[in-house]
Amino acid sequence: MNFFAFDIRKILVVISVVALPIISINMKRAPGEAPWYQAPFSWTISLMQDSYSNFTSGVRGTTSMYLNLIGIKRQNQSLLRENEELRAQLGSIEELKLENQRLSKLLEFREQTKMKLLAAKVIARDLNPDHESIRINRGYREGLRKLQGIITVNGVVGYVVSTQMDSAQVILLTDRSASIDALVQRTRARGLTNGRSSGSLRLRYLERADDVTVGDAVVTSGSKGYLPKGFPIGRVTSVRKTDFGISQEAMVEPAVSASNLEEVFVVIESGNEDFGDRLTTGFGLPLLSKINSTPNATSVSPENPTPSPTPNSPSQRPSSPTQSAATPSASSTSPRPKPTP
Amino acid sequence: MMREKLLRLLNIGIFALVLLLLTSAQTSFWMQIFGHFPAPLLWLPIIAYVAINRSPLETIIVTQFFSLIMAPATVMPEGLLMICNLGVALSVQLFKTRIYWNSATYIMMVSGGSVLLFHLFHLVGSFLVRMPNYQPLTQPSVSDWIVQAMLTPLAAPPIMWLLHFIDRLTGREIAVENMEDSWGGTR
Repeated sequence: MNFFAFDIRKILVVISVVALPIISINMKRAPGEAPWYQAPFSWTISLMQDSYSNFTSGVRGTTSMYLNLIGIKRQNQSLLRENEELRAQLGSIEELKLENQRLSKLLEFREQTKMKLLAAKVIARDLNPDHESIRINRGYREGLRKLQGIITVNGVVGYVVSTQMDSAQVILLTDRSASIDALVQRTRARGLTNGRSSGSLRLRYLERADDVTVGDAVVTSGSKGYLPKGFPIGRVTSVRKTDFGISQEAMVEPAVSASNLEEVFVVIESGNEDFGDRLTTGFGLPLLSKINSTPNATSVSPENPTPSPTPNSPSQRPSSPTQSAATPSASSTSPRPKPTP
Repeated sequence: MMREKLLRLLNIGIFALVLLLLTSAQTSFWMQIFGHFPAPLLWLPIIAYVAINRSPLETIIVTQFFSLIMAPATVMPEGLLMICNLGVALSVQLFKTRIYWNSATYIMMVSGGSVLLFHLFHLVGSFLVRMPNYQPLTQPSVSDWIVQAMLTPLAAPPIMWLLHFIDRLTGREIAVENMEDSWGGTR
Protein backbone atom coordinates (compact mmCIF):
# COMPACT_ATOMS: atom_id res chain seq x y z
CA MET A 1 0.00 0.00 0.00
CA ASN A 2 1.33 3.34 -1.01
CA PHE A 3 0.79 5.64 1.94
CA PHE A 4 1.46 8.78 -0.05
CA ALA A 5 -0.81 7.98 -2.88
CA PHE A 6 -3.36 10.80 -2.23
CA ASP A 7 -6.67 11.16 -3.85
CA ILE A 8 -6.97 14.88 -4.12
CA ARG A 9 -10.75 14.83 -4.61
CA LYS A 10 -11.31 12.91 -1.37
CA ILE A 11 -9.18 15.35 0.50
CA LEU A 12 -11.17 18.31 -0.86
CA VAL A 13 -14.44 16.70 0.16
CA VAL A 14 -13.20 15.98 3.69
CA ILE A 15 -11.87 19.53 4.05
CA SER A 16 -15.04 21.11 2.83
CA VAL A 17 -17.23 18.96 5.12
CA VAL A 18 -15.10 19.78 8.16
CA ALA A 19 -14.48 23.39 7.21
CA LEU A 20 -18.04 24.48 6.32
CA PRO A 21 -19.49 24.18 9.81
CA ILE A 22 -16.43 25.87 11.22
CA ILE A 23 -16.80 28.68 8.73
CA SER A 24 -20.52 28.90 9.42
CA ILE A 25 -20.03 28.96 13.20
CA ASN A 26 -17.36 31.51 12.76
CA MET A 27 -19.67 33.71 10.66
CA LYS A 28 -22.48 33.41 13.21
CA ARG A 29 -20.23 34.83 15.82
CA ALA A 30 -20.10 38.06 13.93
CA PRO A 31 -22.98 40.29 14.82
CA GLY A 32 -24.99 41.92 12.11
CA GLU A 33 -27.34 40.96 9.38
CA ALA A 34 -28.00 37.49 8.12
CA PRO A 35 -25.45 36.30 5.68
CA TRP A 36 -26.07 37.25 2.12
CA TYR A 37 -26.59 33.72 0.98
CA GLN A 38 -29.46 33.19 3.39
CA ALA A 39 -31.41 36.18 2.19
CA PRO A 40 -33.29 34.60 -0.71
CA PHE A 41 -34.23 31.57 1.39
CA SER A 42 -35.35 33.54 4.33
CA TRP A 43 -37.44 35.81 2.08
CA THR A 44 -39.08 32.77 0.44
CA ILE A 45 -39.68 31.08 3.75
CA SER A 46 -41.08 34.14 5.36
CA LEU A 47 -43.39 34.67 2.38
CA MET A 48 -44.68 31.14 2.61
CA GLN A 49 -44.97 31.27 6.36
CA ASP A 50 -46.84 34.52 6.11
CA SER A 51 -49.23 33.04 3.55
CA TYR A 52 -49.81 30.00 5.68
CA SER A 53 -50.24 32.09 8.70
CA ASN A 54 -52.77 34.31 6.98
CA PHE A 55 -54.62 31.37 5.58
CA THR A 56 -54.78 29.45 8.84
CA SER A 57 -55.74 32.48 10.85
CA GLY A 58 -58.44 33.27 8.30
CA VAL A 59 -59.78 29.74 8.46
CA ARG A 60 -59.55 29.67 12.22
CA GLY A 61 -61.28 33.05 12.49
CA THR A 62 -64.09 32.04 10.15
CA THR A 63 -64.50 28.69 11.82
CA SER A 64 -64.50 30.17 15.28
CA MET A 65 -66.93 32.87 14.16
CA TYR A 66 -69.34 30.24 12.93
CA LEU A 67 -68.73 28.12 15.96
CA ASN A 68 -69.34 31.09 18.26
CA LEU A 69 -72.38 32.34 16.39
CA ILE A 70 -74.75 30.46 18.63
CA GLY A 71 -72.91 31.72 21.66
CA ILE A 72 -72.99 35.27 20.34
CA LYS A 73 -76.69 35.03 19.64
CA ARG A 74 -77.31 33.75 23.13
CA GLN A 75 -75.13 36.46 24.56
CA ASN A 76 -76.97 39.04 22.50
CA GLN A 77 -80.29 37.81 23.80
CA SER A 78 -79.00 37.88 27.33
CA LEU A 79 -77.70 41.42 26.87
CA LEU A 80 -80.97 42.53 25.35
CA ARG A 81 -82.85 41.03 28.27
CA GLU A 82 -80.47 42.67 30.68
CA ASN A 83 -80.96 45.94 28.86
CA GLU A 84 -84.72 45.63 29.13
CA GLU A 85 -84.47 44.80 32.81
CA LEU A 86 -82.25 47.80 33.38
CA ARG A 87 -84.65 50.01 31.46
CA ALA A 88 -87.54 48.69 33.55
CA GLN A 89 -85.55 49.29 36.70
CA LEU A 90 -84.76 52.77 35.51
CA GLY A 91 -88.45 53.39 34.88
CA SER A 92 -89.41 52.14 38.33
CA ILE A 93 -86.66 54.20 39.89
CA GLU A 94 -88.02 57.24 38.07
CA GLU A 95 -91.51 56.35 39.30
CA LEU A 96 -90.18 55.93 42.84
CA LYS A 97 -88.40 59.25 42.57
CA LEU A 98 -91.59 61.00 41.53
CA GLU A 99 -93.54 59.24 44.25
CA ASN A 100 -90.92 60.24 46.74
CA GLN A 101 -91.16 63.86 45.65
CA ARG A 102 -94.95 63.72 45.89
CA LEU A 103 -94.92 62.09 49.31
CA SER A 104 -92.25 64.47 50.57
CA LYS A 105 -94.47 67.36 49.56
CA LEU A 106 -97.42 65.77 51.37
CA LEU A 107 -95.30 65.12 54.45
CA GLU A 108 -94.00 68.66 54.43
CA PHE A 109 -97.55 69.93 54.18
CA ARG A 110 -98.74 67.72 57.03
CA GLU A 111 -95.92 68.85 59.27
CA GLN A 112 -96.57 72.50 58.62
CA THR A 113 -100.25 72.57 59.42
CA LYS A 114 -102.27 72.51 62.59
CA MET A 115 -104.81 70.20 61.05
CA LYS A 116 -104.97 66.57 61.99
CA LEU A 117 -104.60 64.86 58.66
CA LEU A 118 -104.65 61.27 57.56
CA ALA A 119 -102.98 60.29 54.32
CA ALA A 120 -104.98 58.02 52.06
CA LYS A 121 -104.52 56.40 48.70
CA VAL A 122 -107.06 56.54 45.90
CA ILE A 123 -107.99 52.95 45.09
CA ALA A 124 -110.94 53.23 42.74
CA ARG A 125 -113.26 55.60 40.99
CA ASP A 126 -116.97 55.69 40.41
CA LEU A 127 -118.79 52.93 38.59
CA ASN A 128 -120.81 55.43 36.62
CA PRO A 129 -118.87 57.95 34.54
CA ASP A 130 -121.63 60.52 35.04
CA HIS A 131 -120.77 60.65 38.72
CA GLU A 132 -117.46 61.87 40.06
CA SER A 133 -116.38 59.99 43.13
CA ILE A 134 -113.37 58.06 44.31
CA ARG A 135 -112.74 55.40 46.91
CA ILE A 136 -109.88 55.77 49.37
CA ASN A 137 -108.15 53.09 51.41
CA ARG A 138 -109.15 54.49 54.83
CA GLY A 139 -112.34 53.71 56.68
CA TYR A 140 -114.07 54.23 59.99
CA ARG A 141 -111.46 52.07 61.68
CA GLU A 142 -109.00 54.94 61.12
CA GLY A 143 -111.50 57.49 62.37
CA LEU A 144 -113.13 58.56 59.14
CA ARG A 145 -116.60 59.98 59.37
CA LYS A 146 -119.14 61.23 56.90
CA LEU A 147 -118.57 64.78 55.58
CA GLN A 148 -114.92 64.96 56.52
CA GLY A 149 -113.05 67.01 53.98
CA ILE A 150 -110.58 65.52 51.52
CA ILE A 151 -107.72 67.71 50.38
CA THR A 152 -104.38 67.65 48.65
CA VAL A 153 -101.58 70.16 48.92
CA ASN A 154 -103.11 71.99 45.96
CA GLY A 155 -106.64 72.36 47.22
CA VAL A 156 -109.91 70.75 48.18
CA VAL A 157 -110.79 67.46 46.51
CA GLY A 158 -114.19 66.63 48.01
CA TYR A 159 -115.68 65.08 51.09
CA VAL A 160 -116.55 61.69 52.52
CA VAL A 161 -120.07 60.46 51.79
CA SER A 162 -119.91 56.96 53.18
CA THR A 163 -117.45 54.94 55.18
CA GLN A 164 -116.74 51.26 55.43
CA MET A 165 -114.31 49.55 57.76
CA ASP A 166 -111.24 50.04 55.60
CA SER A 167 -112.41 52.30 52.81
CA ALA A 168 -114.52 55.34 52.19
CA GLN A 169 -116.41 56.81 49.27
CA VAL A 170 -115.46 60.38 48.53
CA ILE A 171 -117.60 62.62 46.38
CA LEU A 172 -115.50 65.03 44.34
CA LEU A 173 -116.33 68.71 44.23
CA THR A 174 -116.91 68.37 40.51
CA ASP A 175 -119.78 65.92 40.99
CA ARG A 176 -123.11 67.53 40.32
CA SER A 177 -124.43 66.46 43.72
CA ALA A 178 -121.49 67.89 45.66
CA SER A 179 -121.77 71.32 47.19
CA ILE A 180 -119.52 73.22 49.51
CA ASP A 181 -119.65 76.58 51.25
CA ALA A 182 -117.13 78.92 49.62
CA LEU A 183 -115.73 82.44 49.66
CA VAL A 184 -114.25 84.61 46.97
CA GLN A 185 -110.89 85.24 48.58
CA ARG A 186 -110.41 88.84 47.46
CA THR A 187 -113.83 90.23 48.39
CA ARG A 188 -115.03 87.59 50.86
CA ALA A 189 -118.21 87.18 48.81
CA ARG A 190 -119.94 84.05 49.95
CA GLY A 191 -121.53 81.38 47.80
CA LEU A 192 -122.03 77.69 47.31
CA THR A 193 -120.06 75.62 44.84
CA ASN A 194 -121.79 72.94 42.83
CA GLY A 195 -120.10 70.43 40.59
CA ARG A 196 -120.98 70.28 36.93
CA SER A 197 -119.74 66.74 36.17
CA SER A 198 -117.60 68.20 33.44
CA GLY A 199 -114.54 68.91 35.53
CA SER A 200 -115.68 72.38 36.50
CA LEU A 201 -117.60 74.03 39.31
CA ARG A 202 -120.31 76.63 39.61
CA LEU A 203 -120.26 79.17 42.43
CA ARG A 204 -123.91 79.92 43.08
CA TYR A 205 -125.97 82.18 45.32
CA LEU A 206 -123.50 85.02 45.22
CA GLU A 207 -125.20 88.27 46.08
CA ARG A 208 -125.84 90.39 43.05
CA ALA A 209 -123.82 93.27 44.45
CA ASP A 210 -120.82 91.10 45.26
CA ASP A 211 -117.62 91.99 43.48
CA VAL A 212 -116.45 88.88 41.62
CA THR A 213 -114.13 88.98 38.64
CA VAL A 214 -112.41 86.46 36.43
CA GLY A 215 -109.24 85.17 38.05
CA ASP A 216 -110.46 85.52 41.64
CA ALA A 217 -109.45 82.67 43.90
CA VAL A 218 -112.30 80.77 45.54
CA VAL A 219 -111.55 79.31 48.96
CA THR A 220 -113.32 77.35 51.65
CA SER A 221 -115.30 79.19 54.29
CA GLY A 222 -114.51 76.59 56.92
CA SER A 223 -117.89 77.32 58.43
CA LYS A 224 -118.63 73.83 59.70
CA GLY A 225 -115.15 72.79 60.63
CA TYR A 226 -114.90 69.91 58.20
CA LEU A 227 -112.43 71.82 56.08
CA PRO A 228 -109.84 74.45 56.98
CA LYS A 229 -110.77 78.04 56.33
CA GLY A 230 -109.32 79.80 53.30
CA PHE A 231 -108.18 76.62 51.58
CA PRO A 232 -108.18 76.78 47.76
CA ILE A 233 -111.16 75.43 45.84
CA GLY A 234 -110.52 76.95 42.46
CA ARG A 235 -110.32 80.05 40.35
CA VAL A 236 -113.12 82.02 38.70
CA THR A 237 -113.15 81.59 34.93
CA SER A 238 -116.33 83.49 34.11
CA VAL A 239 -119.10 85.42 35.86
CA ARG A 240 -122.74 85.24 34.83
CA LYS A 241 -125.18 87.90 35.91
CA THR A 242 -128.68 87.81 34.48
CA ASP A 243 -130.79 90.91 33.90
CA PHE A 244 -133.04 90.02 36.80
CA GLY A 245 -132.77 88.05 40.02
CA ILE A 246 -131.06 88.62 43.32
CA SER A 247 -127.97 86.55 42.78
CA GLN A 248 -125.19 85.92 40.32
CA GLU A 249 -123.05 82.91 39.66
CA ALA A 250 -119.51 82.24 38.56
CA MET A 251 -117.82 79.34 36.80
CA VAL A 252 -114.85 78.02 38.72
CA GLU A 253 -111.94 75.93 37.54
CA PRO A 254 -111.08 73.54 40.38
CA ALA A 255 -107.64 73.73 41.95
CA VAL A 256 -107.32 69.96 41.94
CA SER A 257 -107.80 67.83 38.88
CA ALA A 258 -109.42 64.49 39.60
CA SER A 259 -107.65 62.82 36.74
CA ASN A 260 -104.26 62.67 38.43
CA LEU A 261 -105.25 62.04 42.03
CA GLU A 262 -103.19 59.36 43.72
CA GLU A 263 -102.74 60.38 47.33
CA VAL A 264 -105.03 62.60 49.36
CA PHE A 265 -105.44 63.81 52.92
CA VAL A 266 -108.50 63.28 55.04
CA VAL A 267 -109.10 66.21 57.37
CA ILE A 268 -109.74 64.39 60.61
CA GLU A 269 -109.73 67.68 62.53
CA SER A 270 -109.38 71.05 60.89
CA GLY A 271 -107.99 72.48 64.17
CA ASN A 272 -109.45 75.90 63.26
CA GLU A 273 -106.71 76.17 60.70
CA ASP A 274 -107.09 79.39 58.75
CA PHE A 275 -105.11 79.81 55.59
CA GLY A 276 -106.62 83.28 55.36
CA ASP A 277 -104.57 85.65 53.29
CA ARG A 278 -101.56 83.40 53.12
CA LEU A 279 -102.47 82.30 49.66
CA THR A 280 -102.88 85.72 48.07
CA THR A 281 -99.47 85.56 46.46
CA GLY A 282 -100.15 82.36 44.59
CA PHE A 283 -102.74 79.75 43.95
CA GLY A 284 -102.64 76.38 45.61
CA LEU A 285 -100.17 75.33 48.22
CA PRO A 286 -96.92 74.63 46.42
CA LEU A 287 -95.95 77.99 47.84
CA LEU A 288 -96.62 76.84 51.36
CA SER A 289 -93.06 77.03 52.55
CA LYS A 290 -92.72 80.50 51.11
CA ILE A 291 -96.00 81.54 52.63
CA ASN A 292 -95.10 80.17 56.03
CA SER A 293 -91.98 82.26 56.09
CA THR A 294 -94.01 85.41 55.38
CA PRO A 295 -94.34 87.60 58.51
CA ASN A 296 -97.94 88.48 57.58
CA ALA A 297 -99.01 84.91 58.18
CA THR A 298 -100.14 85.82 61.67
CA SER A 299 -102.92 83.31 61.97
CA VAL A 300 -100.55 80.38 62.30
CA SER A 301 -97.43 82.02 63.59
CA PRO A 302 -96.06 80.57 66.82
CA GLU A 303 -96.55 83.94 68.55
CA ASN A 304 -100.23 83.97 67.73
CA PRO A 305 -101.51 80.44 67.66
CA THR A 306 -105.14 81.48 67.90
CA PRO A 307 -106.37 82.50 64.48
CA SER A 308 -107.89 85.93 64.45
CA PRO A 309 -110.63 86.70 61.96
CA THR A 310 -109.74 89.03 59.15
CA PRO A 311 -111.57 92.36 58.96
CA ASN A 312 -113.87 91.09 56.27
CA SER A 313 -114.19 87.69 57.81
CA PRO A 314 -117.23 85.76 56.68
CA SER A 315 -118.01 85.17 60.31
CA GLN A 316 -118.89 88.87 60.46
CA ARG A 317 -121.00 88.63 57.38
CA PRO A 318 -124.50 87.25 57.40
CA SER A 319 -124.76 83.80 55.91
CA SER A 320 -126.23 83.48 52.49
CA PRO A 321 -130.01 83.13 52.82
CA THR A 322 -129.94 80.25 50.42
CA GLN A 323 -127.33 78.33 52.33
CA SER A 324 -129.59 76.83 54.92
CA ALA A 325 -132.05 75.73 52.30
CA ALA A 326 -129.49 74.30 49.96
CA THR A 327 -127.30 72.59 52.48
CA PRO A 328 -128.80 70.22 54.96
CA SER A 329 -127.10 69.88 58.29
CA ALA A 330 -124.38 67.37 58.86
CA SER A 331 -126.71 65.28 60.96
CA SER A 332 -129.05 64.69 58.05
CA THR A 333 -130.37 61.14 58.11
CA SER A 334 -131.30 60.77 54.45
CA PRO A 335 -130.09 57.48 52.96
CA ARG A 336 -127.44 58.91 50.66
CA PRO A 337 -127.28 62.65 51.13
CA LYS A 338 -124.46 64.80 49.86
CA PRO A 339 -124.64 67.65 52.35
CA THR A 340 -122.21 70.47 52.47
CA PRO A 341 -119.25 70.07 54.80
CA MET B 1 -136.09 19.85 44.74
CA MET B 2 -134.08 21.11 47.67
CA ARG B 3 -130.91 20.46 45.75
CA GLU B 4 -132.24 22.43 42.81
CA LYS B 5 -132.96 25.40 45.03
CA LEU B 6 -129.52 25.21 46.57
CA LEU B 7 -127.96 25.06 43.13
CA ARG B 8 -129.99 28.07 42.06
CA LEU B 9 -128.80 30.00 45.12
CA LEU B 10 -125.24 28.89 44.47
CA ASN B 11 -125.59 30.05 40.88
CA ILE B 12 -126.76 33.49 41.97
CA GLY B 13 -123.99 33.61 44.57
CA ILE B 14 -121.30 32.83 42.00
CA PHE B 15 -122.81 35.34 39.59
CA ALA B 16 -122.69 37.94 42.37
CA LEU B 17 -119.04 37.11 42.99
CA VAL B 18 -118.26 37.53 39.30
CA LEU B 19 -120.17 40.80 39.33
CA LEU B 20 -118.07 42.07 42.24
CA LEU B 21 -114.86 40.98 40.54
CA LEU B 22 -115.79 42.71 37.31
CA THR B 23 -117.01 45.83 39.06
CA SER B 24 -113.75 46.07 41.00
CA ALA B 25 -111.79 45.51 37.82
CA GLN B 26 -113.70 48.32 36.14
CA THR B 27 -113.36 50.82 38.96
CA SER B 28 -109.89 50.02 40.25
CA PHE B 29 -107.84 47.89 37.88
CA TRP B 30 -108.84 49.88 34.81
CA MET B 31 -108.02 53.13 36.61
CA GLN B 32 -104.56 51.91 37.55
CA ILE B 33 -103.78 51.04 33.93
CA PHE B 34 -105.75 53.42 31.76
CA GLY B 35 -106.30 56.30 34.17
CA HIS B 36 -109.50 58.19 33.55
CA PHE B 37 -110.13 56.80 30.10
CA PRO B 38 -113.74 55.57 30.09
CA ALA B 39 -113.96 51.99 31.28
CA PRO B 40 -116.35 49.42 29.83
CA LEU B 41 -119.39 48.85 32.04
CA LEU B 42 -118.49 45.28 32.86
CA TRP B 43 -121.52 44.55 34.99
CA LEU B 44 -123.96 45.16 32.15
CA PRO B 45 -123.15 41.95 30.22
CA ILE B 46 -124.09 40.07 33.41
CA ILE B 47 -127.40 41.89 33.65
CA ALA B 48 -127.96 41.25 29.94
CA TYR B 49 -127.12 37.56 30.36
CA VAL B 50 -129.55 37.23 33.24
CA ALA B 51 -132.23 39.03 31.22
CA ILE B 52 -131.70 36.76 28.23
CA ASN B 53 -131.52 33.49 30.12
CA ARG B 54 -133.85 33.86 33.09
CA SER B 55 -137.56 34.30 33.65
CA PRO B 56 -138.82 37.88 34.17
CA LEU B 57 -139.42 37.32 37.87
CA GLU B 58 -135.98 35.89 38.44
CA THR B 59 -134.48 38.66 36.32
CA ILE B 60 -136.14 41.32 38.46
CA ILE B 61 -135.03 39.74 41.73
CA VAL B 62 -131.47 39.04 40.60
CA THR B 63 -131.07 42.47 39.02
CA GLN B 64 -132.22 44.24 42.17
CA PHE B 65 -129.90 42.10 44.24
CA PHE B 66 -127.00 42.87 41.93
CA SER B 67 -127.80 46.59 42.05
CA LEU B 68 -127.65 46.48 45.82
CA ILE B 69 -124.26 44.83 45.93
CA MET B 70 -122.90 47.22 43.30
CA ALA B 71 -124.17 50.36 44.99
CA PRO B 72 -121.15 50.92 47.28
CA ALA B 73 -119.01 51.42 44.19
CA THR B 74 -120.81 54.60 43.19
CA VAL B 75 -122.29 57.74 44.68
CA MET B 76 -125.32 57.26 42.47
CA PRO B 77 -128.37 56.70 44.71
CA GLU B 78 -129.17 52.99 45.13
CA GLY B 79 -132.75 53.55 44.07
CA LEU B 80 -131.77 55.16 40.83
CA LEU B 81 -129.17 52.47 40.16
CA MET B 82 -131.84 49.82 40.71
CA ILE B 83 -134.25 51.57 38.39
CA CYS B 84 -131.63 51.91 35.67
CA ASN B 85 -130.45 48.30 35.91
CA LEU B 86 -134.00 47.01 36.02
CA GLY B 87 -134.90 49.16 33.04
CA VAL B 88 -131.98 47.72 31.12
CA ALA B 89 -132.80 44.12 32.11
CA LEU B 90 -136.47 44.35 31.20
CA SER B 91 -135.70 46.15 27.94
CA VAL B 92 -133.26 43.40 26.98
CA GLN B 93 -135.82 40.77 27.85
CA LEU B 94 -138.46 42.50 25.80
CA PHE B 95 -136.04 42.88 22.92
CA LYS B 96 -135.20 39.18 23.12
CA THR B 97 -138.84 38.23 22.56
CA ARG B 98 -138.82 40.18 19.30
CA ILE B 99 -135.33 39.60 17.97
CA TYR B 100 -133.08 36.78 19.03
CA TRP B 101 -130.34 34.70 17.48
CA ASN B 102 -127.90 32.56 19.33
CA SER B 103 -124.47 33.97 18.60
CA ALA B 104 -121.72 36.11 20.02
CA THR B 105 -122.71 39.05 17.83
CA TYR B 106 -126.12 39.11 19.50
CA ILE B 107 -124.47 39.21 22.92
CA MET B 108 -122.19 42.00 21.78
CA MET B 109 -125.03 43.96 20.28
CA VAL B 110 -127.16 43.61 23.39
CA SER B 111 -124.24 44.62 25.64
CA GLY B 112 -123.50 47.71 23.59
CA GLY B 113 -127.16 48.64 23.56
CA SER B 114 -127.38 48.06 27.31
CA VAL B 115 -124.71 50.69 27.90
CA LEU B 116 -126.64 53.33 25.99
CA LEU B 117 -129.89 52.24 27.61
CA PHE B 118 -128.37 52.45 31.07
CA HIS B 119 -127.15 55.99 30.48
CA LEU B 120 -130.48 56.96 28.96
CA PHE B 121 -132.37 55.61 31.97
CA HIS B 122 -129.92 57.42 34.22
CA LEU B 123 -130.38 60.67 32.35
CA VAL B 124 -134.17 60.51 32.52
CA GLY B 125 -134.16 59.08 36.04
CA SER B 126 -131.94 61.85 37.38
CA PHE B 127 -134.63 64.37 36.45
CA LEU B 128 -137.40 62.31 37.98
CA VAL B 129 -135.72 61.35 41.23
CA ARG B 130 -135.95 63.93 43.96
CA MET B 131 -133.46 63.47 46.76
CA PRO B 132 -131.75 65.88 49.12
CA ASN B 133 -128.87 67.53 47.31
CA TYR B 134 -129.22 65.27 44.30
CA GLN B 135 -128.89 67.20 41.07
CA PRO B 136 -130.20 66.08 37.67
CA LEU B 137 -127.74 65.14 34.97
CA THR B 138 -127.67 68.32 32.92
CA GLN B 139 -124.31 67.78 31.27
CA PRO B 140 -124.04 64.14 30.22
CA SER B 141 -120.64 63.00 29.01
CA VAL B 142 -121.92 61.61 25.73
CA SER B 143 -118.44 60.94 24.37
CA ASP B 144 -117.77 58.66 27.35
CA TRP B 145 -121.05 56.86 26.68
CA ILE B 146 -120.06 56.18 23.11
CA VAL B 147 -116.60 54.92 24.05
CA GLN B 148 -118.16 52.66 26.67
CA ALA B 149 -120.78 51.41 24.23
CA MET B 150 -117.93 50.39 21.95
CA LEU B 151 -115.70 48.86 24.63
CA THR B 152 -118.32 46.89 26.56
CA PRO B 153 -119.27 44.61 23.64
CA LEU B 154 -115.61 43.65 23.31
CA ALA B 155 -115.59 42.40 26.89
CA ALA B 156 -119.01 40.75 26.62
CA PRO B 157 -118.21 37.41 24.87
CA PRO B 158 -115.69 36.15 27.48
CA ILE B 159 -117.99 37.25 30.28
CA MET B 160 -120.90 35.44 28.65
CA TRP B 161 -118.76 32.37 28.18
CA LEU B 162 -117.83 32.46 31.87
CA LEU B 163 -121.46 32.85 32.93
CA HIS B 164 -122.50 30.03 30.64
CA PHE B 165 -119.79 27.88 32.19
CA ILE B 166 -121.12 28.69 35.67
CA ASP B 167 -124.61 27.80 34.50
CA ARG B 168 -123.37 24.45 33.27
CA LEU B 169 -121.49 23.91 36.51
CA THR B 170 -124.54 24.57 38.65
CA GLY B 171 -126.95 22.69 36.44
CA ARG B 172 -128.79 25.78 35.29
CA GLU B 173 -128.19 25.19 31.63
CA ILE B 174 -131.03 22.68 31.28
CA ALA B 175 -133.37 25.00 33.07
CA VAL B 176 -132.34 27.80 30.73
CA GLU B 177 -132.88 25.72 27.63
CA ASN B 178 -136.33 24.54 28.76
CA MET B 179 -137.36 27.91 30.06
CA GLU B 180 -140.74 29.07 28.92
CA ASP B 181 -140.78 32.74 28.27
CA SER B 182 -143.53 34.47 30.12
CA TRP B 183 -143.36 37.37 27.65
CA GLY B 184 -145.13 35.07 25.20
CA GLY B 185 -142.48 33.01 23.42
CA THR B 186 -140.52 29.87 24.03
CA ARG B 187 -136.79 29.68 23.59
